[in-house]
Amino acid sequence: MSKIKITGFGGQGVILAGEILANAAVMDGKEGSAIGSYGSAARGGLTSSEIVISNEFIDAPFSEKPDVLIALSQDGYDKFVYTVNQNGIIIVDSGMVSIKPLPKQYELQAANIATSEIKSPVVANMVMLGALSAITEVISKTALINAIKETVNEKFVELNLRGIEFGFEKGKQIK
Amino acid sequence: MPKLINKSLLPPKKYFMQGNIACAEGALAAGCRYYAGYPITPSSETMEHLSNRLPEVNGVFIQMEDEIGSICSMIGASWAGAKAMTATSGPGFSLMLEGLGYAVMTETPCVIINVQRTGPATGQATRPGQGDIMQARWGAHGDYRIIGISPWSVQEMYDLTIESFNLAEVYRVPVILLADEVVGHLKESFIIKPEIEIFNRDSSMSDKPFGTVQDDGVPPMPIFGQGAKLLVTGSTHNEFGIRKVADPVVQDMLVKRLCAKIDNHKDKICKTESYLVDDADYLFISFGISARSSYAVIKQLRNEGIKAGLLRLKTIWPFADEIIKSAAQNCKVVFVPEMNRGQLVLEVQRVLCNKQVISIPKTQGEAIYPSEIYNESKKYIK
Repeated sequence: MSKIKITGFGGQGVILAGEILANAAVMDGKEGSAIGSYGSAARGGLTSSEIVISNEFIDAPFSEKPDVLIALSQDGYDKFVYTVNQNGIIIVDSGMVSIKPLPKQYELQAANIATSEIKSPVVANMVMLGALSAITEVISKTALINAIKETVNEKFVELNLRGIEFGFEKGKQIK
Repeated sequence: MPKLINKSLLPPKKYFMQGNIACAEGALAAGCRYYAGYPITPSSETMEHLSNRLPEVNGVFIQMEDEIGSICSMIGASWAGAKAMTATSGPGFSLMLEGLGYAVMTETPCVIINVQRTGPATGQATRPGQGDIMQARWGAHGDYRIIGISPWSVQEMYDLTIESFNLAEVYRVPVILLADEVVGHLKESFIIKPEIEIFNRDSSMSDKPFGTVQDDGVPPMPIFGQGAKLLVTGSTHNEFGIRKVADPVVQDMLVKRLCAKIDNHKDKICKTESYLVDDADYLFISFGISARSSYAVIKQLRNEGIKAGLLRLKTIWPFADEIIKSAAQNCKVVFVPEMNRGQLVLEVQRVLCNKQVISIPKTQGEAIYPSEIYNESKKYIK
């Protein structure tokens, strides 16, 4: 069983990333669940997504002590960084977050990559999922690609897939 | 009552879907063809989805001016023969209570989805709670019974919405699906089976549409526009529907029958699920998302060699007294985790008055997590 938490602020696509990840697991033949937690404003505010991937029925669909924390914002990082499981890892957007010196922490500048290389700041979430796929065994890149094709509006599929590819390559480099 | 088998509307397979949308699809599969509602977080996805889907199946969707209008509109549609539903959350449910009482008194089959958030009043719109379960049971005035159902997964948001319609039709009673924000917004996989069991109301023309000689206490319900002459009223009425607002015998008979038609069928209505209960020294009794956290806890305790079990209430109202008594017979301590200040626990304490029953409440506008239940229960586990 893998427990993942993605955290950021409203508008960064934290909840969509969680849903794509869980859907990808289901398309891989596993059980996957995603719960988003957000405030009542459309943008801003601490947002997080809890994802559980398992080979059997998921009991509590929460990531209290995540095996993987993906942090896209300072608030989210500060709130959850010490909840990570003892053997867990952190993948953090070091362009957005001033990080603490911790072991098993993988840094990439997802928002910068999205803006400068993909020319769209909104796919930083996909860059992170691509990196997750390269760094861990949690989910395959193929499953992510399939889930994006099923979930995301047709107009934006290509853009999101590019986010995954860039993130995957970056993930391989920093692994 | 004859059981029918309907084909599912969506192709049978495994889906990855949000709870609120699975609820909408369950309603359609059950034959719901009328939705009247007013959007409110965290239930709005059900309404939004039905606004697209109902016209596709020749159903009617209407956004009303508020929740009072919504429930009244639904009641009217039900009398016109439609299976009707509305969905809301705490503040909207509070407004609907007058209509709920009217639906009980007029014995109108209908389904109300309450995706519970925190309260009282506006509370925290996007945050989960389970604080409406007593309100669902007692919120309208007078003596009456309703049926309250609690789903714990996306699968059950689908299955138990169908079940809610079946119960409403069979017993001519409003059924309240007491979901919560977590289950409503949870996305996970679930299976749509090719066939669904459906029960439809007995709509035969009867000269006694509000009183009965039937054994089950549920009179047939004529449909508007098909020739029956009847008065549908929230005032006390006799078996013909004639108002009797000062007759003690009619009042007494009516209230007794409204209660008896549910009480006498408790065994058929009440559904629970047991997990490792048989040899349990420590029994958890819970519902909805709290039961899922409890399920994780009993597995953890079992791994430590502690005999823990879970009794999960899928039906909250009517309350499963006998099932609870039997499940708790040999256990030492009973725990009741829930996302309120302790509501279900009051009923459990009533039923198990000779047992140690411990409340594990949470009202932080967050799901109750396994670690919280674990830590609290450990104080009592020797």
